[in-house]
Amino acid sequence: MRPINLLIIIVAVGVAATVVFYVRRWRLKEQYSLLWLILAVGMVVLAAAPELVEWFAAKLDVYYAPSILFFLGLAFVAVMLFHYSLEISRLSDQNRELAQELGLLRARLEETAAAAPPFKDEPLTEGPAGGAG
Amino acid sequence: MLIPVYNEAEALPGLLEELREQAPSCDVLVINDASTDDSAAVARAAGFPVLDLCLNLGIGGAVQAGFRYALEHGYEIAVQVDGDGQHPPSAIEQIVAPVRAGACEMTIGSRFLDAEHDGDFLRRQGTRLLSWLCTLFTGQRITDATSGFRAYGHQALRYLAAYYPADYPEPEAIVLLRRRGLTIQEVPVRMRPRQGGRSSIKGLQAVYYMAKVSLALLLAVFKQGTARQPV
Repeated sequence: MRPINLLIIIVAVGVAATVVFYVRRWRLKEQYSLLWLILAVGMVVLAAAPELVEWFAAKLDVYYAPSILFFLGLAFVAVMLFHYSLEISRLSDQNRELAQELGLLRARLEETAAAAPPFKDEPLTEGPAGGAG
Repeated sequence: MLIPVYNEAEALPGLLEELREQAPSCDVLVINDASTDDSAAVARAAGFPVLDLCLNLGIGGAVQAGFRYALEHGYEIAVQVDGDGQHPPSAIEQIVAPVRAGACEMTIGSRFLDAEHDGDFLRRQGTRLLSWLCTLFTGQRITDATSGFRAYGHQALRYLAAYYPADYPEPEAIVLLRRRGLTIQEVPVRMRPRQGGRSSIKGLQAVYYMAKVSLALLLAVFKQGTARQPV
């Protein structure tokens, strides 16, 4: 095995370890860790068996076999980015919904407050211990 | 009556005053899209209810919050009026009449139906292009696709409360409604120059605006009527 293959395997293990580290600390969700772990596994497989790249390149009639690696790398990044675009769309929809709901509730609260007898601003007698009141 | 406002403290008092005089039978709701000036305070001081959004959602998100408010409060018809005073309250009756009569589910107050020219040249060309696209995609002649002076019937409200584009929503809403089989009419309206505040679209943003809306119109043609997952 050439040094570069060993280096790639070490980097891949580092990627996997980093992902697991953050998942353990509750800072990375499992669903997002999945793609990164797939990347790490892919790196190990290709580094351990470089002839896979050669074989694949021959099948696709690619003259310069390593360009397959660039293709795979770019494809991975593109998939990742698209995944994030989907997530951002979902999050911004949820965000919008939340802000609207909050506004509607606040408006309803104002209506109710206007209709009800004046609200006495007294501290709660049974608030949580140590609460501000 | 839904009035989306973003930093319109300048124009708002005059508009609200006019509404009180010229449309006394309408219930007014001011939707404050997280303004940084005192638009909300101005509206409250004038005695109108305010729907405060805690995040700036853009005109689409703000208007949609208004649709949802209207549905929650059992209104059958809602009118959308820009907060900058461009839309004369005296024309509200013309806008509402076709919806109330059941002739259509949405009316649009059009600046151009009477060949009335106003606004600067580029803006007019942009509106013409978008109107042309709307005409192309709906098979119905639309002259002022970007007008935000509109009246909505109950079915339109129900649909748009669930599906309304976030930014620059006006042209896309036309295509979406038509694809749902809901009818639209344009009514000629003479608009005024804005009564204060600043336009939200200028410079490079205008280029982005045109590209985004044109694409959104095209994609709206292919959009499913409803999302599989709740949005």
